[in-house]
Amino acid sequence: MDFADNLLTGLAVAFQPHNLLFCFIGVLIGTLIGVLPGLGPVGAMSILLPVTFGISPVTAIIMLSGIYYGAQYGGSTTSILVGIPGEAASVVTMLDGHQMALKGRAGPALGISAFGSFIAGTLGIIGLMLLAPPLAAIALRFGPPEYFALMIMGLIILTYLAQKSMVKSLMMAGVGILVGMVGLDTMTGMPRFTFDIPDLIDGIGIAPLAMGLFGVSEILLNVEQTIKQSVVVKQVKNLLPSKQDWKDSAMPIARGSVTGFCLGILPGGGAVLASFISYGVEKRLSKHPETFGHGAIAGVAGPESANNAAAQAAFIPLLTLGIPANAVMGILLGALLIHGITPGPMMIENNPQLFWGTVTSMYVGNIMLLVLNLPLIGLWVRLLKVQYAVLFPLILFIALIGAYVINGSEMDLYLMLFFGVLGYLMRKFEYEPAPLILAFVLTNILEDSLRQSLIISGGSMSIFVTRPIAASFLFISLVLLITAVMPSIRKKRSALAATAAENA
Amino acid sequence: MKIKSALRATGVAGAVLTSLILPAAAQAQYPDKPITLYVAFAAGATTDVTARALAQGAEKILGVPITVENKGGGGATVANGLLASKKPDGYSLLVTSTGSITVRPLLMKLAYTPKDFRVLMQYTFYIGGLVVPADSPWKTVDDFVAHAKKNPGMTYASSGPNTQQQIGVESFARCKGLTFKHVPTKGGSAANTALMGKHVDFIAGSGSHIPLVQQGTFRELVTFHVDARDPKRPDIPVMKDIGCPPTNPPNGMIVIAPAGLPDPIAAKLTAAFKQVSDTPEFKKLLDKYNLDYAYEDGKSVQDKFPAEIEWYKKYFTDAGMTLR
Amino acid sequence: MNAERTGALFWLLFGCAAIYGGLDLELGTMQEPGSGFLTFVAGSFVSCMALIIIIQSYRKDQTTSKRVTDLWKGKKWKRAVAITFLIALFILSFEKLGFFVCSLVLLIVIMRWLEGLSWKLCLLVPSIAIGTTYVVFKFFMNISLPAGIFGF
Repeated sequence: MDFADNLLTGLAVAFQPHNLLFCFIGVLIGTLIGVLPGLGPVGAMSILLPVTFGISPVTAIIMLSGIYYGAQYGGSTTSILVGIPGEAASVVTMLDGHQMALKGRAGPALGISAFGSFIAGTLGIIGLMLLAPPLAAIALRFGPPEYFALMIMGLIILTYLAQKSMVKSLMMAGVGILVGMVGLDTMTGMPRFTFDIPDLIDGIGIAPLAMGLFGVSEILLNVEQTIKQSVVVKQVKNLLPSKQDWKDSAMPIARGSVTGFCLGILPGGGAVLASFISYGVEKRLSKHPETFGHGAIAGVAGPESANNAAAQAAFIPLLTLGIPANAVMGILLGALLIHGITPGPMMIENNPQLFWGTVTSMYVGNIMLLVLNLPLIGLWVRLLKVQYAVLFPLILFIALIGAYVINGSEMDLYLMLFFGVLGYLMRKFEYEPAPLILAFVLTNILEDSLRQSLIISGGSMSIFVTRPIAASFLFISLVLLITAVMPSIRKKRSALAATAAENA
Repeated sequence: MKIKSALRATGVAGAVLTSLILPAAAQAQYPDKPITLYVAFAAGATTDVTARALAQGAEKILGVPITVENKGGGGATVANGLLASKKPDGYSLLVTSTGSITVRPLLMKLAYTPKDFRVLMQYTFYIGGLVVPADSPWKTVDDFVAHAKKNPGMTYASSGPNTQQQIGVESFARCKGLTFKHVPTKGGSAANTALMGKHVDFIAGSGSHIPLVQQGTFRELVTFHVDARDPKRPDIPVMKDIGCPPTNPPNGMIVIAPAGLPDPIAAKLTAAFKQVSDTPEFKKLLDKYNLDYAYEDGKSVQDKFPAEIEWYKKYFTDAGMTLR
Repeated sequence: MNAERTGALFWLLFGCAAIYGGLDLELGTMQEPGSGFLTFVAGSFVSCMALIIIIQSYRKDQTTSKRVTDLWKGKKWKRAVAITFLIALFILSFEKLGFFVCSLVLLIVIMRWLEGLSWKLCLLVPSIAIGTTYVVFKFFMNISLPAGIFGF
C-alpha cells in the first residue's frame, strides 16, 4: 500500500461519525484536564479506560490520544494565566508566558501558544506519517551512554536559562539533582532519603514540586505586596498576536517543532527536555536575549511548539515498536492489549486501519483543539481582570485540590506547601526556581544512564566517547559550555586590558 | 411489682437475644455497602485491568458496587501498607503481588509484614524467562550457555533489582556456573527497549516480552518459574529440562484483605471471585496478556508463604546481602 | 546579617548534608557506582557554589549590600505567614473533616478575614467554586474527594 492509499484509509476511518465524536470528547476532556493544574492526562486516561472496553480499538485509541495531546494545549493556559505549571512540560512556557500575561499580553501569549501548538502538532503528525519506521530505528540506537550525553547537554542548556547570577542558577541545578535523589534507587531497588515515609518511595512528584515552587510561592509573594494594584493585570491590549508577534515567533515555532519531534521519539526523553532546549536555543539565537524571562514571545512560541511536537512524536515508539515512551503511552499499550492488538514491530502491518486512522484523527483533533481554544482566550483574559483578592484564594484552592487528586495523597499537599514556602524564600534571596525544576526532571535518567553505562562498560568512561551518538552530544555540550562562558571571559580580559592601559 | 420485674426480664432477655443475633445478622447481611478494591499498580497495567474484570464480575454476584481505586507505587508496597491499616471488615480489599509481601519486607523497612494480611485467592502468576534478540547467534539454551562460559560478564537488563524475574536469571546462572552483569532498568518496557537496541546481551523477561517473542523480535531460550513446558510454545525448555533445580517461587497476583477477616466473609469473597475467574471471559482476558489461569485458594497460597520467605532469605544471604 | 551570605550559608549546610548522605549511601566503584555517588557529586557542587557566593559577597560593596531584614522591609509579611498557616491547617484537616468543610473554611477565612471582602462575595464565590469542583470531579471524572467525619 502506498502513501496515498494509506492516507485515504486513514481519512475514511477518522471521519466516521463515532470516531469524530470520541475524538471530540477526548480533546475536550484533555483540555479540561490540562487546564486543571496537577491532575494530568495519565489520571484522566486511566479513569476513562474502562469506558473504552465496549468500543472498537480504533475509537478507543482515538479518544485516549485526544486526551493526551489535548492536555498539552490546556496546560499552557494555566501556566500563562496564573503562573502555575500543572506539569513539567508547562514550566518553561510559564517563564515568559506568565510575564506576558502580567504585562497585559495574555491574549497574544495564549494565541501564539495555541497556534504554535497547532502548527507543531500538525508538523509532528506529518513526521509521524512519513518518518515513523526509520526514526524508530534511530531511537533504538539510544542506549544508556547516549541518554547520559543527552542529559549532560540538557544541563548545559540550563545555564542559558540563567537570568541573574550564573553561579546561583548552577547551584539551583545542583539542588534540583539532590531533590531528585529522593525515592527508590532504580539500580539497587532501595529507597533513598525517604525517611521511612511510604509516600516518598516513588520520589517527589513533579506536579507538587512545580506547583509549589512557582504557584504557591508567587501567591505568597503577591500577598505581602502593599499595593494591591501591582498584581492586577494592566489594560489588556489585544486578544490575538500582532504581526510583529508572528514575525518573532515564526522561526521559534519551526525550530521548536523540529526539536520537540526529535526528542519526543526517545523513550523517556520527551516533552520537558524539548521545551527547555527550545527555550535555551531561542534565547541564544535571539537578538534581544535580555527580554527572555520578562515576556519574550519567542520564549513561549518555541517551547510550546516543542512540547506539542514531542507529544505527537511519543506515539512513534509505541505504534512502530510496541514500546511506551512514557506513562501515557503505557496506558495506551494496555488499551491495545485489551482490545486484542499486539503492539510491536508488526503492528502497523497487521492493523493498518488502526495506525492510519489514529494518525489522521490527530489532524482532526488538532483542528478541534484550535477551534476550541481560540474563542476561550477572550474568556480567560476576562478572568484575569477579576480582583486579585478574589482570584488568588480560588487559584490556591484549585491548586490544592489538583495536587491532591493526582495520587489521593496528603503528602503531595505537604510537599506543595513546603516547596511553596521554599520557593518564596528562594525568590526573596534571588535564587531562581526554574533551573531547580529542570535539573530535577533530568536527574533520574541522568543517574540511571550513567550507572547503567558504567556497568555495561565495566567501569570504563571510554564508552561515552567511542559510541558516535553519545560522543556527538558530549561534543556539542562542550561547545555550548565554552560559548556560554566565553563572553564573560572576554569581558574580563578587555576589562583587564583597559585597566592595564590606564595604569601604563 | 410483678409487671415491673416482668418488663425488666423481657428487657434483659430482649437485649441478650439481640446481642446474639446482631453479629450473626450482620455477617449474614455482608455485604451491605459498597466495597473498595484497591489495585497496587498503575491504571492500565496488567494487574489493574484484570482486577477491574474481577470487580465487575463480583459486583453482580455480591450485589453491591465494587469501586476500583489505583494506589500504585513502590512496587506495590504503598498499597500493601495502606491495606494493613484498614479494618478487617470485608469492605477494603487489595489486588497485589505475592512478591511485594514475601520478598520486599526482607530488604527494606515497610509499613507491613506478611502477617498483616489474609489472602483470599490467587488467579495467575508472572512467568519469567531468558530472552535474547531473534537475530542473535544462540538458537538454543545450550548454545547460549556455551558462549556464556567462554565470555563471562554478559550483560542483561531486567525490570528491576531483586524482582522475581531477575532472581530467576541469577538462579539459572548459579545452576550453570555463569557470571552475568546485571543492568537494572525502570521496568519491563525499558528492558525490552534496551534489548531491541542491542545495548545489552539478553534480558530477564518479565511477561511483557511474550508478545515480542510471538512477533519474532525476540527469542526465549528457557522459561523459569514453571515445571512444565507451555503447550503453546513447546520448543522452549523449562529449568527441569536443562537440569536445573526449579527457580524461585514466582510472583503471583492475589486478592487480599487485612488479617483478622472473619471466616464467613472470607469464604463468601473467595467464592465470588473464583466464580468470576472461572468464567471463559476472564480466562480470555488473561490470555490476552499471555498469562495462564492459575487459580489457587487463599489458604493454600498463604500456607506457602513461610517456605517462600525462607527460600528468599537463603537466596539473599547467599548473595551476600544484608537482610532486615 | 548580610542577605547574600545568609542565603548561601543555608545552601552550604544543605550541600554538606548531601555530601554526608552520599557518603553514607556509599560511592561504589567505577564498575558499579553506588547509590550515593551522584548525591555526593551534586552535594559537593552545591557546597562549592555556595562558597563562591559567600566569597563574592565579601568583594561587593559592603555599604550597599542588602541585609536580611531589608528583604522584608515594607512588606506585609504577616499575611504571607497567615496564608501559609491556613494552608497547613487545611491540609491537616482535609482527610478528617472532608472536602466541603475544609475548602469552605479556607476560602471564607482568606476572603473575609485577610482580604476584607463583603460577606456576599465571601459566601457566593466559594460556594460556586466548591460546587463546580465537586461536580466536575465526582460526576465527570469519578474521582472521590475525602468525605470526612461529617459524611460529606
